[in-house]
Formats: sequence, C-alpha cells, structure tokens
Amino acid sequence: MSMIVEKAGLLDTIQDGGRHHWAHLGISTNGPMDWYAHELANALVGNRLDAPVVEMHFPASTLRFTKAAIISITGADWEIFINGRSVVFNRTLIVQPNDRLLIGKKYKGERACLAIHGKWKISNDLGSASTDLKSKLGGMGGRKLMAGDQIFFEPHNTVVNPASTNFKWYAEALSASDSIRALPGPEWHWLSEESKSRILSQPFLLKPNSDRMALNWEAPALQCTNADKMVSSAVTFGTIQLLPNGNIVTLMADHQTVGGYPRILQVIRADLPKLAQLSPGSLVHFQLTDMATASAHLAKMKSHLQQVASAVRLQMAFG
Amino acid sequence: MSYPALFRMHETAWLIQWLPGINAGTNEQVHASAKWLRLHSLPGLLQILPAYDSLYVEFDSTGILQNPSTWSTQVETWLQECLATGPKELQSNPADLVRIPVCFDEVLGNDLSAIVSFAGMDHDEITSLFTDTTYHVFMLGFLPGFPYMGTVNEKIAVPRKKQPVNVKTGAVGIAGMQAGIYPVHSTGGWHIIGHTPLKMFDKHSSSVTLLQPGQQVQFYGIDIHTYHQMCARP
Repeated sequence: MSMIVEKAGLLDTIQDGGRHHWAHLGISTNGPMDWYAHELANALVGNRLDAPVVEMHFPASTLRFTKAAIISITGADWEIFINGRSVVFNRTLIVQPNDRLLIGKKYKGERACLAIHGKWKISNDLGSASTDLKSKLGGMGGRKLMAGDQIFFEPHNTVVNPASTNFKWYAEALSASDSIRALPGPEWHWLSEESKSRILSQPFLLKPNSDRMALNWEAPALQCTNADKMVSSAVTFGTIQLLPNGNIVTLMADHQTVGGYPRILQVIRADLPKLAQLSPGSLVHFQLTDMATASAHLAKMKSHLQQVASAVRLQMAFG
Repeated sequence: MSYPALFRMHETAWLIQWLPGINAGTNEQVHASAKWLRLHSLPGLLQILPAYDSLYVEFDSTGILQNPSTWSTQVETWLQECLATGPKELQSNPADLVRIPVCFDEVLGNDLSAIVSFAGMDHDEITSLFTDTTYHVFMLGFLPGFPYMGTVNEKIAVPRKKQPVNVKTGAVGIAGMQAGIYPVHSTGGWHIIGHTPLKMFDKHSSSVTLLQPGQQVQFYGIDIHTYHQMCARP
C-alpha cells in the first residue's frame, strides 16, 4: 500500500516519538507538537504509540491511498472528507483503494496527526523518522511533504470489521479552560516579586509568528535580575524563557538543545497538547502547579491512551 | 545554595547545577559526571546533555507512570551517587586532542579586519594568538556539531556583532572568550576569523559530529590552496 500526496499542505511532516540520545551533540528531538494527538492517532489504528504519523498544519495535504487502509486523524478538529464523504476525527477509519483524503474547513486547532496502520517504509536518521527541517534529517529527506511524494507501507493482514469502526473512543476532552499549568523553572527565582505575580495573573496573547520552534507571546514586559549571569544551559519542550526585552517565549517541538535566556517556567506535559492547538490571537493564563499534580494529570492521559490502544487491538484481527 | 545541586526540571527530567560560570574545572566535572551516568545508566534514559556548568538528564515516562514517588527517589539516589563518585573516578582520563585546520585567507570572506581593529594588532599576530591556544570543548549546541570552545586569548576576544549576518559552512567564529565553528550555512553573530574544510556534522559517520563535549582542540593554519583541496575530499 502507498499513500500519494496529490496536493501539498502548508507544512506536513513525518514525525515519530522523537530523536532521542543525541542532544549532547546539538541535535534536536523534534517530534510531534501535540504528543497526545500523536499517541491517540496510533492507538486508534493499533500501531505502537511512538510510530510515525503525518503531522499536518492547515491547509493540509490531499492524500490518496492506493489500497485499503486503517487510518485515524486526531488533534485539531477540521472538516475531513474521505472520497467526498464526511468523517469524524478521533476515530478509527477505513479507506478503500484509491480513496482520497481531503481536509475542508478548520473548526478548531492548529495541528492534526494522521496515523496509518502498519509499518512505514521510511528512513530513520539517527534512530528516528522525526523530521528536522533545519538539519534535513528524518521523514521525507528531512523536508515537508510535496506533491508527488509517495509513502510506502509494508503489506499486512490486519482486518477490522467495518461495522466496528464506530468505536466510541472519545479523546479525553482536553480542558477547555485558557489556563496553562506550569512548574517553576530553574531561574524562576530571578523574576522580581512583582513579575512573578504578574506572570501568574496577566493574560498572554499568542502572536502569529509562532511556529514549531516556539510560541511567542504578547503581554506587558516582565523583569528579572541576573539575566546577564545566564550561561547557556539545557532547555526542553515547554520551557518558557524570558527574553531581554521582557517578553516570554515557550519552546516547542523543534527547540534547540540549549538556550542562553532565563528559564522561568516549565509547562507541564499534560498541557503541552493544549499549547500545540492554540491559534494566533488566543489568550492564556499561566498557573503555577506542583510535581504531584503534573504527574497525576500525565498518568491520567497515558492511562486513557492505553485503554484506547487495548480496546482497538481487541477489535483487530492480525493475520 | 550549595553546589552541585539537583533541580527537578519536569516530570521526567533533572538538572544538576554546579557553581554557575564558565570555567574548565567545573566543566570537567560536568563531563566526568555525564560519563559516569552513561556507564551506570538507568532504564528509560533519553538524554544526558552537558552544558557549561550543568547537566540535564531526561527519561521516558515509564518510570513515573509505574511508581511516581519510588522512581523519583531512585533517580535522585543515582544522581547523588554520581556526584559522590563520578568526578573522582573519571576525571583523571586525559581528554582527546583534535587538530583542526583553518584557513585565514580573506578571500573566503571573514571578519579579520574587524578583529585587527579591535585588537590593534596585525593579521599574523592575531592568527598566531588564535592557533597558540589549546581550546576546551565545553559543550555542543545551537546546531548539530556546533562546539562552544574556550578560552580565547583576551587580546582577540572580540564580542558578538550587534546584528547576525550570513555565515558559511565551516566558519570559525569568536564571541568574547568563546570560539565556535558553524557546521552549516547559518545566520550568526560571531566574528569569523577563518574557515575550516572539515565537516562538523555527518549523520553517516560513526561519531556523527567531529567534536564531542570535553575534548581539546588546537587549530593550525592552512593556505587557500590546501583549503580547497581538503574541501574537495569526500
């Protein structure tokens, strides 16, 4: 089976669980913007949770499947058509030979994950298929999908009873609140008391120049002492840095390995998917939380994913 | 605050922080500790990332999902054991020395004239001061294979440019007391003293990057002819 890109989307890239073990050499992790959507998409098609997916931005690619396939689309809530027939996200879907997948209107959310059951025949670089656009690693030669690209899959004998594709697996509704929970960063204590209280009370507006590397926020400037003492140190997905001009930046999937700005907050894993789906112009509030709360929320989300994965696998018969 | 100190960065990561600042003694402890952690690794390790004065250690979520409190304690005990024994055990190993050719010819487009103005010395004196130093590779970051090295002789320790400009693959740059090498075309604010024909990053090579954190580097001058010959080598 193969999937052909008939029309390229704005930024569709292959992402898997990330390129780990190389950060000490300056190599980024990359991977999906929305880890929950990534794992849910794979759970819905009976793949390993860290298997590759196509992460789509809007407008997305138009894709054609040469043979029948089991797929799912998760994350953003966009209008989805399979051969003109309207289908729903967060579900296990079946496509027939030569079916065309097309994305229509955007209702809500910025990134979707498309999972396809089976083993992807794509090359790994340094142990991962995640796309690093800057260093040209992973996925489709380290670049975004283009018209004419063809992604191949190993043949398999998995079948799904079409009647059972109406799985009632609903994604755990990510909290609709505008609150983003975070832990104090290593340089949290460098913030003035006034800035500490302001960062936890004032709204932050997401700027349009946000991307896979970082979310940029608009708000009255914050202040900290000691910024000139900052020496380059590790940063990660969800690290919030305070820039010299008093603005904050949240590092996302394509973040560099180290940074030279104070790390004042660290968004909890459970709220990273929410960040990934925010549209420019969205307003958020940051809320300080603790490790126990952060771990508990992460555990709840992971447990839900395991339940979906187990239930889907029960519905599938592997030849 | 007493150093080194442990900081819980997030649900599955810790930061070991040594006395803040850039100095080779502290950095050697960072690398000795990283080595110890690799030799005595725990399951689920994803990254061991050394920086100037800190070491970031990240795991996958298996441990925290199985038993949050027990697992955290296990990791912290392991990190404390590293700090107690790592640096002593491994610091005595001499660091590898890597010799890197650099072409100072201005035809390649560099900032030597700006460095001449800054230093008040001529071209040859500056390049001699640059090649006379043995540099310590403090860390890699910013781009795959980009080394942060020190310490540049203070006479030629020209600060960063106010605005970054385009730099070529192999550009050897100075930013204050740091020296670096751009592995690919990039925008950069470091003053470029010369260019190396060597590849700093190659995903197909066994070491992946030319330099590793904790190594020592010496530069040696080559002429433009040799530079082009070396660039042409596969």
